[in-house]
Amino acid sequence: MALLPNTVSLLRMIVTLSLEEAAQALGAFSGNALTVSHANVRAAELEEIMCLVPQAEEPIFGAHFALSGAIDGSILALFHWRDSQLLLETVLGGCSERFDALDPMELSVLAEASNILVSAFLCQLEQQCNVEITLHPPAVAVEMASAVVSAAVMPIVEAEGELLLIDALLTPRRTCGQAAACHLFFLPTQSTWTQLLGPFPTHRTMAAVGRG
Amino acid sequence: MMTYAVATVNTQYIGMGELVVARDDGLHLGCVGLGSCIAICAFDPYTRVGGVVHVVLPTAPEGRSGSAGKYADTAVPALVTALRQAGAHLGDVRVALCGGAGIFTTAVSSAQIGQRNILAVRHALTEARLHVVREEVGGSEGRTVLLHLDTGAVYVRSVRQGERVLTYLGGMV
Repeated sequence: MALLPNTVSLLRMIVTLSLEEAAQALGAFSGNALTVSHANVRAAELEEIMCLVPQAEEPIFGAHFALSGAIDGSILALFHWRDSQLLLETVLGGCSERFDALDPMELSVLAEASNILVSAFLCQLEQQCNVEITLHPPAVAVEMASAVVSAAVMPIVEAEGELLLIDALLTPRRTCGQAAACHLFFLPTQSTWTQLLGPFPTHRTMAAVGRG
Repeated sequence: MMTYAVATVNTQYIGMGELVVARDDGLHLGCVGLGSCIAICAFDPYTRVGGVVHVVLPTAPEGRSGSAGKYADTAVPALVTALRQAGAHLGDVRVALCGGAGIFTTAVSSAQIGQRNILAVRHALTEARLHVVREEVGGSEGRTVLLHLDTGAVYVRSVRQGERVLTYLGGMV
């Protein structure tokens, strides 16, 4: 089932609002003010997703959150090494030299940053759609990029569904304009899509996006 | 066809659901960054015909057409047909398997797909009477696998263990 344009528009509004909240929360978490310099959301298919990780063997950090309640599915948050370094330096003042040698504290920081971004998005989704969503603790991995992405999206591919890609660019104030990019893959089952966003009125969605 | 930035002149990387069979001493066939997917590497040491298929899911949905290599139950028959057409003798073909990981160990569904892929591929290979000489499947590691068509050597790479030889499918000729 393809996502309707009004559904994507609604999600775009939700992402914009949620990332602003996430930036504030991440700023409080890191002790360094953050701004969202770029946010985008779009429906994507598997091949397009795999093109996001052209360095397929390069290690990448992934936090995979299972969802239940009104949404049956999952969300995957991804940080490349350079972006992870920037976040870790912002929060901890430094980090390990190799991605595959991150200590538990560093992994925890990246998981928490992912948690803040994902939670902000889901809170907005709950408010806009008047539903309750349960976010489960994440499973984290530093592994080959292609393996991380494909493992997370495979249940959606099996169900022949679409997934939603959210790109965010976060700029900490004290890093001279250096920004940390994060990809979020929202992976609900297609029956959830229908149930959650299908009846949403087009005019309300478009008006909301216009205001955004 | 999906291509990867790390491809070299003599290496043909095989995207999800793709199947490549060749008889070329200078060629390496590989799958990059396998998670829950499985690479089936097959090689006939006498004719030097080899092939790799990048299996994504265990079972093709009913009435579904498309890439035969995507599903274990259609990939193995397609591999058998391609090997035979390229001149391989099926009784001599030796197989190595790699992949089927559960990258996120507490995320039930993705771990299950890796395990289901392993079972489906083994079952399909048994049905096709293809002999598996070595496998490195399951676990939680992403893997890259390469089959060298000159020697039948199968190499595996991972982030934490680096590169090592999984097996020589061309051995004992």
